[in-house]
Amino acid sequence: MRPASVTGILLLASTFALAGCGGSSPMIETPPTKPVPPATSSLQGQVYGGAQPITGMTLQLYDAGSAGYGSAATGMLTGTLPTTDSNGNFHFANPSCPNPSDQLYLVGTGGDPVAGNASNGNSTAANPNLALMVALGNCSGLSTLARLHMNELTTVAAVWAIAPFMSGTTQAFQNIGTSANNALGLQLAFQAAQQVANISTGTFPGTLPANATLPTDELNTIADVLEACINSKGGTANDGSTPCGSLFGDAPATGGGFPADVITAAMNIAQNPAQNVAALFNLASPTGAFQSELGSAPHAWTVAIQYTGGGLNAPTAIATDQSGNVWVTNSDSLSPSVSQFSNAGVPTASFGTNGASLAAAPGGIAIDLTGNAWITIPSNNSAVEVSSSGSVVKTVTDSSIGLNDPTSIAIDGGGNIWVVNSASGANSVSAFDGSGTKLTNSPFSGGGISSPVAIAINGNANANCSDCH
Amino acid sequence: MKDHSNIAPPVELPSFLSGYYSTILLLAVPRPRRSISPLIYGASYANFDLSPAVTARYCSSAVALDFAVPVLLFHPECQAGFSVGSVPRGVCAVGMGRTLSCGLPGTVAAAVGLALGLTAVNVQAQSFTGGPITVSGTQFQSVGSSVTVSGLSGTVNAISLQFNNLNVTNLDSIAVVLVSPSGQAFDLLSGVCGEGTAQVGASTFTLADSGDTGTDNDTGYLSGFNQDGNPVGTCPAAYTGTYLPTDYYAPNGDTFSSPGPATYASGDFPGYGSGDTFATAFTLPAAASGLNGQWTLYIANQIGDANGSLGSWSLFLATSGGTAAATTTSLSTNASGNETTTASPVTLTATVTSSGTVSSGTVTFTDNGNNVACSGGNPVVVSNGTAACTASFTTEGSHPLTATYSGSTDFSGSGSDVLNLFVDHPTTNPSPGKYCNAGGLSISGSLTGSNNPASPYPSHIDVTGYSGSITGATLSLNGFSDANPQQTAMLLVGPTSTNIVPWDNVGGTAAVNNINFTLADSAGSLNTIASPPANGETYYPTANIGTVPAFPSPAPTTLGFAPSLGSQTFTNAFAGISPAGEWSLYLYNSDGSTATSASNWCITLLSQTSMTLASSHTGSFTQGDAADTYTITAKNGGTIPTNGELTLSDSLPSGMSAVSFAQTGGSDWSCSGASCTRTTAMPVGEQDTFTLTASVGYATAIGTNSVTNSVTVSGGNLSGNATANDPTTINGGPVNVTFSTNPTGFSYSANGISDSTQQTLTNGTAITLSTTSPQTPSTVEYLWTGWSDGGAMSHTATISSTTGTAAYTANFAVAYTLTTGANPSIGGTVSPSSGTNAGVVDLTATPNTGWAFTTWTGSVANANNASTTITMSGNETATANFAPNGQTTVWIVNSIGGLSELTAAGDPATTTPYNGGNEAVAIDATGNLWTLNSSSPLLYEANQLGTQEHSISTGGGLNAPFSLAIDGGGQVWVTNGNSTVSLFSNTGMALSPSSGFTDSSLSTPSGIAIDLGGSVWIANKGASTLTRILGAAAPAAPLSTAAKNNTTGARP
Repeated sequence: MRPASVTGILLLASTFALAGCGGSSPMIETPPTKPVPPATSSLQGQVYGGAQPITGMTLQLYDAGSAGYGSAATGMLTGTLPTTDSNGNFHFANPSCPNPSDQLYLVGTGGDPVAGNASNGNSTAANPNLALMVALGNCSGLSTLARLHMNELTTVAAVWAIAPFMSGTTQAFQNIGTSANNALGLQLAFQAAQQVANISTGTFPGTLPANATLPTDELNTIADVLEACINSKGGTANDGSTPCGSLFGDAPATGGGFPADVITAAMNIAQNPAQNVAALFNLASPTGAFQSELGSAPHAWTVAIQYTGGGLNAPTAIATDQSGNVWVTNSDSLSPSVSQFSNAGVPTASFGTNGASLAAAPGGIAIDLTGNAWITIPSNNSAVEVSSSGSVVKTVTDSSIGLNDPTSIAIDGGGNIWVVNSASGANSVSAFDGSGTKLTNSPFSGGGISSPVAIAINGNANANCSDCH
Repeated sequence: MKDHSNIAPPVELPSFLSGYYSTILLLAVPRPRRSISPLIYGASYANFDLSPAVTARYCSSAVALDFAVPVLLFHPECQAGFSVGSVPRGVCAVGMGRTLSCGLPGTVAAAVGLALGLTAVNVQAQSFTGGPITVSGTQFQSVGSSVTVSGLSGTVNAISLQFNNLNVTNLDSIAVVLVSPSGQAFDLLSGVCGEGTAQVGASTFTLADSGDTGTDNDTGYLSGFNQDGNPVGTCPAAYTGTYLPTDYYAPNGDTFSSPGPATYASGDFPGYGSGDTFATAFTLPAAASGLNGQWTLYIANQIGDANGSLGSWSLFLATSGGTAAATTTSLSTNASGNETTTASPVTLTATVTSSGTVSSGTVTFTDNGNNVACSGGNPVVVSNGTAACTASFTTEGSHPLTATYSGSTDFSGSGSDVLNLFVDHPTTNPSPGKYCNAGGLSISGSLTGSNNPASPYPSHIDVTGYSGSITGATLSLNGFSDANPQQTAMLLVGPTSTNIVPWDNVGGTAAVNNINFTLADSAGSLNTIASPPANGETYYPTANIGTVPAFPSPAPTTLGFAPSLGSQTFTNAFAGISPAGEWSLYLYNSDGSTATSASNWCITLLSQTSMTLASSHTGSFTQGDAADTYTITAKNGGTIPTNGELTLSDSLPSGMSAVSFAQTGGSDWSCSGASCTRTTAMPVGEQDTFTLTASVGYATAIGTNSVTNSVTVSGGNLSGNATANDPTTINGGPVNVTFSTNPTGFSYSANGISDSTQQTLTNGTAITLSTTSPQTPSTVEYLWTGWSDGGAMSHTATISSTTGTAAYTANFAVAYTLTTGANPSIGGTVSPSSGTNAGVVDLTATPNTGWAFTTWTGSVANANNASTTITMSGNETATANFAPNGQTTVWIVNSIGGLSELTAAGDPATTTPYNGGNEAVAIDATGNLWTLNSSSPLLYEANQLGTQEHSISTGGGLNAPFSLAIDGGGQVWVTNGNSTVSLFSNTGMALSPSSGFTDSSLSTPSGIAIDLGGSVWIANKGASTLTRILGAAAPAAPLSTAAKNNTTGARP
């Protein structure tokens, strides 16, 4: 890694960008403090299955695990767990935060989907398959939360956003966690869930930025697929007679086995979006609680969010950085630029409305260990370093490096920048360090390189490697 | 001769008299016949009494008696206006209580060199001694003894007779008569001591006309009874001294039968008053010529009751005015080579020779004109022709000595040649080989001219006590001061007359003061002498071109100049000489106005102490020999004998052992084990021989001159240890070789002999061993696993025994199946491959590029070593585990298709590209490469060795793929040209539907990336939008951190 410049340090401080820390956030890096009661001493809300409140549902507040992906979460409520009343309301005192940046989510299980059961001729009967959740985010924000509205939409938003961090064949809601090196990833996933669904209203969208568009019909369809099971007396997979049995039968786990709760079923669908797509589509009532629905089954239950703005203009290369930001090069030859979006999809203001301008059309992009982007400018035989605030901080044009129509770019574990020289006859790659000083003997043309087009680094670094940096 | 040994020398001697008279008596005589005044000073004869207390002494005779030496009178009145021939002289005869007579005037003998107021008298007394006389017991029988007087000249003034050891019973019974050549007889002793009254012991005494020193009385006569019967004196125990001739029988006369005289003059006796004296009996003074001839002394017993003897007698005839005989005087010393040291007194001997024995006169010894301070006084009385002077000389250098004989009445004076006595400062020997002269050297700075030798010149060092020869010498000058060193020249001459001029025209012109320096060959080469020379330094001998110094005599005339004027060195000058003897340093200053001095100088003798060693043997030795012999010789090849204990140590070759070790033909050395010692000095040139007998073991290396006997001599003050090496050829010995198999029962061949069990072979020779494998002696198959010497199944071995025995065993073991493999298979290879093996099998794991060996799985000896073994105790499995080696590699997609690989330094890791796509590339967690291709296969996976893993052309909606990304679960995400996205598992299984993932937002998707939260981001080039597939991927770190943290294709 090149020495951090003063600029880089200021940059880190100002943007919470991280260098070499595996994606943890500054908040998470804050040393643990003794548990502090939230300012609002209680959490309250209401649970709905579709349009109906769910009574007698048992609530647990979970603190996501940090012992690995899908590791066990910790139930924060002890003793007799709170349950919803006849109107689906719940209210319980906030527990203390073990760590302000812990990611919390609320899960409700069991209970009686009153209206649903009534509609199905079951006056009062608990549905053992009931499981709904809402992603709450940072524990430190617990006290600021408004009254919650937990329903199928909050569940879908949470499960589709958090699925990469979930595991288990049953009660998967108990196994939400991340690795010690990727607390930020989990935090970003929880934020994404809240962007999709509003946790106070149980509707779409949540905190989604204005330049983003949700696939609301698909989301409503999924919610209605779940609602069919929610508002029932439950069932077992492939029982052939119940909505839950159908749902569970059409949503087997990745490695086999069937779920017995709605959240686990939803997780299986999110993690295997191309599985039983049509059958699942058919479980949604066209008159389901959440409208409007898809008119026909999709190709897969993947949820795609579209973003515009930020200067996007014939974007080609894309890269993510350690903070979760997304960098995009805009190849329009009239206004070549690079755009940056937050993980939430919000254009970074400092890049300008058209992105940070580049001298000529960009080739490839790679993020270095300091969080700056390196972009090749083929027509200029150069590479530029753009800071996370959108400034071009370095332009490498040293002819001795051998840059010749550079396109694809990659950065190795030592911070060296490698680019292919795509010019006809160049047949070489060039490499230089973060200060723009070429590696000895660059450009390189061994190994049969011939009109190279792409480059990748096999780091394979481990603790024993002799040249780790 | 009258004894004058107790004559004391003058206390003071006027300087102008020195050198001419051996003994000077100075008398101050106021006037004739006056009292001798107290002006008499200093000198006196013991038997004179000239002390001031004695008065009224007169000179009454012109004859000097009893003086064997010249007597000078110093007349105070003559101190002025003196002239030769008109000055009174006084020749005095003295006697106790008697008057001192002076003869006035008289002749004045010629005396050379007399100065004011002095007169010399030529007075001599010659003595003639006769043999013994035995007194006869027969009355009147004359027993005589004669002497021949010759050579007298001039006038005899006095005669006296000395009896030596007269010892007669009844002394009063004998009479003694002296008969002159002319027949004049004088009865001069008779009836002494009275008849029968006393016995007198052996007596030596003199009868003279002046006699009055006898001890018996104060009359001047011998004691006895006078004619009145009254005793005269008393008889002493023995007569000594001088008496008047005494004849108590004068009135009656004595009878001397023939040949004694019939008539004679008789001596006086007290109271008789008319007796004769020598003067009257022989009518003195008389012409000396008349007294030459035979004189006879007779003793006759007048009573017949006496017997006894006279030892000898001496007749003194005092002459004057005679002619002195010519003499020659020579001078010699008892110093070897007429050279002595300041610490060693020297006896100078003057030998005066003439026609007769010279026993008169004196010799004066001088040193460069100054009288030598002889221990017994100077001048020295001549006795029997010699005079000796013992003196110490405290001044270094040459002393020109002379001896001058004064002459006497009968002998003329003479002088010796100059004898140069060289006096050195004693040589000191402060340490072995170093000799010094601490007497100093100096050259005054107040001289003139250019020829200024130092004092002394030369300065000597006398080397003694040094045995052997030398290889050279050094010269040191200490306390050296020189107002102008360049004007100084030095010459060192060795005892064999070789020489070197080690200093000339060097050292600059600046004065140096009190420095010590050394001149030595060891100082290097030319011109090391600093200008000015510095204290404590050593310089190379140097004589620069300039005025060639003219060392004055006695320096040699042929000089060995040091470079650059010449080429002489100390080594050239002195190597090989025996250094004992005299070394001379000639210091010379060509500028008389510049002083040069040194407080001392030294030479250090350089010697070589070396031993010549040799070891030899005859022929070659053979292993197993019990007694082979080395002959060792040690010779003192140095220049000096050894000093201190010598040790001769032999180091036998490894494998050989000493049986005996002893000196041959001598017992100077004491030997024990492999060493000998000698405590006595080994003379130069001596050679000692030793015999070392040793046994030759089988461990002794075989070959031509394969071993070396080494012998060393140390100690003995050798300059360096001497070592001799004796290369020795060792032949192999007979070896009892046995053969076997393990287990027994297998067939083999040794030197072509099947199943041979024993052979006797020569060590170091070849043996051919062979067997076959597999062998099945019964029902179980065995494999040959090795020969005990490690050789191949059929091989030729060299017998190498250190004990005389050797054994070869063919080992066999039951055959089992060994299964080997690599995990993962691309990680590397294992040798051997699976197959039948037996015994201990060597295993080697070899990693492929980019991989490293980690461990073995299986019952191997060392699971952590890539090279290990496994023992086939049954069927075994050994699997080598490999892991990526952690090295970064760079992969490049070429537009013509194919993958090139570089190291992190940019060096090629492949020679030709591996198979691969032509568009994009991504790397998964195992390091495999996923590439996109513009034509089928659209997606291609190869491992790091270029081996195809998956080749995918359809499925998952793959369609004109554009870009790809691998998520943290190793899943491969691909953007398709038909605005879809495909997903494949890491095993190549399509996870996306056949349509691909679709979404209305996708529009000419190009770039694709995975974020930390598991979302997939796609850049829609066509719509200028981004599409985010929420939570569909396993979280992935950005590529740069993934490369660094090895999380490519794995979740961070």
